[in-house]
Amino acid sequence: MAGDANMRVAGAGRGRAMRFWLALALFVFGFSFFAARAQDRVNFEVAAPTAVEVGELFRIEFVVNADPSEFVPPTIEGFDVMAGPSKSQSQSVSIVNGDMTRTETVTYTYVLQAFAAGLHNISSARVTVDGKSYYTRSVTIEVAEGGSGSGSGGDGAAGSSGSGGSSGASGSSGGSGGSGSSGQDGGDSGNSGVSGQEGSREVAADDIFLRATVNRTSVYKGEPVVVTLKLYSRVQFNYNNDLRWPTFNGFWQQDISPDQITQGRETLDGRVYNSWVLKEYLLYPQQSGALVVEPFAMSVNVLFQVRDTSPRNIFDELMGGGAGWEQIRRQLSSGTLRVDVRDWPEGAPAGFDGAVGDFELDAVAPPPAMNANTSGSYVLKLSGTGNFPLIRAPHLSLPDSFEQYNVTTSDNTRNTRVGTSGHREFSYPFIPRADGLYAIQAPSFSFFNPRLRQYVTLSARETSIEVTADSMTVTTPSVGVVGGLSRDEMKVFGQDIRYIKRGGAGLGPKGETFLWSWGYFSLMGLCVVLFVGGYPVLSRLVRDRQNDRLMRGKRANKVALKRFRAAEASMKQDDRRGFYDEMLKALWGYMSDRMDIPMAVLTKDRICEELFERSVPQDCSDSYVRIISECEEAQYSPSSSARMTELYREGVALLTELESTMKKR
Amino acid sequence: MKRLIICLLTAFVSGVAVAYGGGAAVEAETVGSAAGEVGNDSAGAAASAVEVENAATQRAQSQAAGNVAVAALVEDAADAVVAVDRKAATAMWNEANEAYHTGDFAAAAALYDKIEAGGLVGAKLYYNKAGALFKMGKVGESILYYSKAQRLAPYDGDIDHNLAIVGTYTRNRIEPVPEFFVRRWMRGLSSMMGGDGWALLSVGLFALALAGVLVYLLPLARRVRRVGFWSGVGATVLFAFAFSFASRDYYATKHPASGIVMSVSAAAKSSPDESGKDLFLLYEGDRVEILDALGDWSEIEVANGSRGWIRTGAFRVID
Repeated sequence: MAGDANMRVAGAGRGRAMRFWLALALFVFGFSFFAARAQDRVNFEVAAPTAVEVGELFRIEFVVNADPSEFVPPTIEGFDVMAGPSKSQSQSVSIVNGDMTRTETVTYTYVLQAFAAGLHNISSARVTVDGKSYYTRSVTIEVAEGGSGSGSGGDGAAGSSGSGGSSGASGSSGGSGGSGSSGQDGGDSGNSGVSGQEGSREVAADDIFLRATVNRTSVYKGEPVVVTLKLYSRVQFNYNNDLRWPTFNGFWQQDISPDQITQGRETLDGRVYNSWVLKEYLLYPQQSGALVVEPFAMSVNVLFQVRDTSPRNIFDELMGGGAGWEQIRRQLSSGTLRVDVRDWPEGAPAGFDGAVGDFELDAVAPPPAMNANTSGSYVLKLSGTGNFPLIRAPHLSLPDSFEQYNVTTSDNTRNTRVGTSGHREFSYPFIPRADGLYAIQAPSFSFFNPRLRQYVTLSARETSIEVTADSMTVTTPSVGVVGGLSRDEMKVFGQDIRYIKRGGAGLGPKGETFLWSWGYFSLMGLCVVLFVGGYPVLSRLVRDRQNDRLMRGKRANKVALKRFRAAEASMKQDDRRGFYDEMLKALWGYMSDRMDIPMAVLTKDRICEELFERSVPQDCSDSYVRIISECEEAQYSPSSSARMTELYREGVALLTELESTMKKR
Repeated sequence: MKRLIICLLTAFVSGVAVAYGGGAAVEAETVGSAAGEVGNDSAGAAASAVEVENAATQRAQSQAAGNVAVAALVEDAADAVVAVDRKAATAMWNEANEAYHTGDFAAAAALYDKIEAGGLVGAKLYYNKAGALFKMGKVGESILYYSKAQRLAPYDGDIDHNLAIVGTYTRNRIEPVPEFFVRRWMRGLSSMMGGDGWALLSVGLFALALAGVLVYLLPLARRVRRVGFWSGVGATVLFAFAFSFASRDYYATKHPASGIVMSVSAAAKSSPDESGKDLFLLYEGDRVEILDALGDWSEIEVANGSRGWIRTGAFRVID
C-alpha cells in the first residue's frame, strides 16, 4: 500500500493522462523502478487477473527483463483479443560508485475481452534471449457472468500491477499502453463501472464490504484459529486508514498480517470484486466455550464521477476530461464471528501445562564430568508447531547440592497460518556445589495433540553427571557446604500458634494474689519475729563467746607459764620427751589463745604474720619461731640434753618480752 | 556518719522503687472504681444470667447440688457457679487437652470454660483456652485469653509468640508510642516473674535484709559486720523493687484496667454519648487501657496514644 490514504482502484480514468506524461518523463530520463534488479538473470513473467466478468476488458502483460530476439505469443482461448500484442520497452542506466548498471524491460501487452463464462486457460508464452528459451507459466482465468450488465470495464486494466494504483511509475509502460486501449473503448463502456452509480449516487451494500472469516469454527482450547479480514469492492474509493480491530476477548493474539496489502480479484456470487487482505490474526483460544470475535470496522470514501458542465479548456481535455469527483463516506463493518472452543478431554497427564500442538523434545545434557563450583546448564529444546508463546518451562529437578538459577527461554518461532512453528529453548543454569556422581532425572513434557485428539508425553533421556571436587576450595566432606558459598537462610513456610501447655494445670482461685494474703503476712511476720526474738539471744551468745575468747587471751600468759613450770618439772625428772612436749604446748598454746586462732590452723608463718601485725620486733618473732623449731627437732632426737635448760630460759624470757610488748599497744 | 548517709540513700532508692509500684496503685485507685465498675458490670451481668438459669435448673436437681464433684461433671452450664474441686478440674483439664489434641477445639474450649467457671484459673488454662478459641476462629476472645494468661505469666515466651501470631488476624495495626527507656527496662524486669513470684521473692529479700541488719547489729568482727551491712542494704533495695512489682501486679489484679475489644467494630467517640464525634474505629481484638467510666461509656486509650469513649459493652476486661 502506498502509505498515503489514497488507495485507488487501478486503471481509473482519473489522472490516466497524467500518468502517461509522468511515465513518459521517467522513460525519457532513463529511470525505472526496475533499476535495482539484477541484470544477469533473465525473468520472464506473466501478469494476469485471476477473475473477470463476461464482457470485461482486461489486460495481460508478459514482462521480460531483457531484450528478447523472439517472442512466441501464447494461445489465447475463450477471450477476444481486442489489442496486442503491443511491445513496450524501457531502459534505465544507473551509476552506483562508478559501476554502471543497465536495466532493460520489455513488455508485451494484450487487451482481452471475455465472452463466455467459465475457466479459461492462457498457455505459456516463450521468449528467446541470447539463444535460450524462457517460458511463462500458463494462467487460468475465471470468467464470471456479468452482474446486472454493468461490467467493471476499465477497472481491470491495471489489475495486475502489484499494489493497485500505486503511483504511475510502476505501471510505466503498461500504463501508457493501457491508457491508450481503455481510452478507446472507454468512451461509453470503459467508465461503466462508475457510470452505474453516476445517476443514483448510491452504493449498494454489496458493492463494497468488509468480511472477516475464520478458518475453523470448532477447535480445542489452545488450537490456533486464523481470522482474516478482507475488503471487497466493485467501486472506487479512498481508504481512510481508520481500521479498528476488536480486542479478541478470550484469545491470545498474534498478528500475521501481510507486510504489504496486495490486491486480488475474486468472484463472489457470480460477481467479480477487487479484494484486499487487510488483517490476519492467529488466535489461540484461552478458554473453552463459545467465543465471539467482535466485528472489525472502518470507513471508506466511495468516489463518484460527475460530469462538469462548464466549458472545457484544452488542458482539461488533455488531462482526462472535465470530470469532477464526489465522495460519499461509508462505514463498513465485518460480521461477528463465533468460534466453539472445546475443552481438553479428560485424563491429562500430570505434567500437562496447556501446551497444544505437535512437538518434539530434544535435550542437550551438560557434559558428563565437571568440576564443583563451575557453572553448567541443561538445555531443553522444544520444536514443532503449536501454541509456543504460552508454553512454560517444564520442571527440571536437579540434585539438592546443585544451585539452580532462573530458567532462560529463547525463541525462534514464526507465526504462520497453521500456528506458531519453530523451536523454543529452555536453558536451566546450575552450579554443582559438592562432588559426587549424580543422576539427573529426565524432564518430561506433555502436550495435547488436537489432530490425534490425545495427550502425548515426551521424555528426555536420563543422564548422569560426575562432579569432581573443586581444586580451588578446601574440600569439605559434607554435602552442600563449601566455605559459606551455598548457605541459605532457613526457610520458614508458615506460622501458627504454639501447642497447648501440658502437664499439671497449676490452677488456683481466681483473683487471688500472694501479696497481702495470709500467707504473705505470716511469712513477713515470721521474719520480724525471728529478727526481734533472735537478736537478744544471738547477741548474748556472741558476747559470751567473745568474753570467753577475751578471757583466754588474758589467761594465755598464765597458762603458758603453768606449762613452762610443768616442763621444768619434766626437765628435772630428765623426762626429755615430756619436757619438749610441754614446751611446745606452752609456745603454740600461748599464740593460739593470745591471737584467737585455732591450733589446727596455726603455722609458724602465721605466727610471724600475726606478730608483725602486732608490731612485735622482727628478732623477737624470729627467735620465737626458732625455739619452736628447736623443740620440735629435739623432741625426737636423743642428743643435746644440755640445751633443755637453755631453751627453757629463752622461752620464758621471750614470752615475758612478747607479753610486755603486746600489752603496750 | 557514713553509714547514716548510706542508710538514707537506701531508704531513698527503696522509696522510689516502692513508689513505682505504689504510684501505679494510686493511679489504679483513681480509675480503679471506674474500671472496677466495668469489671463488675460485665461480671455481674454474666453472673445474673447464670443465676437466672441456675434458678431454673436448681429445682430440678436440688438433690445433686450438694455433691460438688457430681455437679461438676454434669453437662450443664448452670453448674458453673458451683465451685469445682481440684480433682475434677484436673480430670477436665486432661480431657480438654485430649480434645484439643484430636482437633475437637470446640469441645476443648467448652471444658476449659467449665474449669474457669468453676473458679479455678491459671496461666496454662488461659493459654490453652486461647489456643482452642483461635483454632475456632474467635480471634478477639483468643487475644483476651492470651492477655489474661500473659498477666499471670508475663515471663512465658510462648504467650508472646502466640499473641503476635493471633494479632496478625486483627484489622487494626496499631503502632505503640515508644516508651521511656527506664519504663521499658522496668517493664522487662517486672515481666521476669509473675506477681506471686515477686511477692515470694520480696519475702525472701525481706528476710535477707533483716538478717543483714542482724549481723550488723551483733557484736561480731568488723569484717563480718561490714558484710552484714552491705548485704542488708542490697537486700533492702532489691526488696523494694520486688515489692513494688508485686504490688503493681496486685493492683492490676484487683482493679483491672485493660480490655480487649470484642465487638466486630466499635467507634471511639469524643464524648460519652452517641452524639459525640467519631474519632477512630476499633476492631475486634484491639487492646485498650481503661481510663475512666461514665454510665455505659468508658474512656479508653489505645497503644498509639489515641483516646476516646466507647461503649463499655464493646470490650471485655482482662481480669
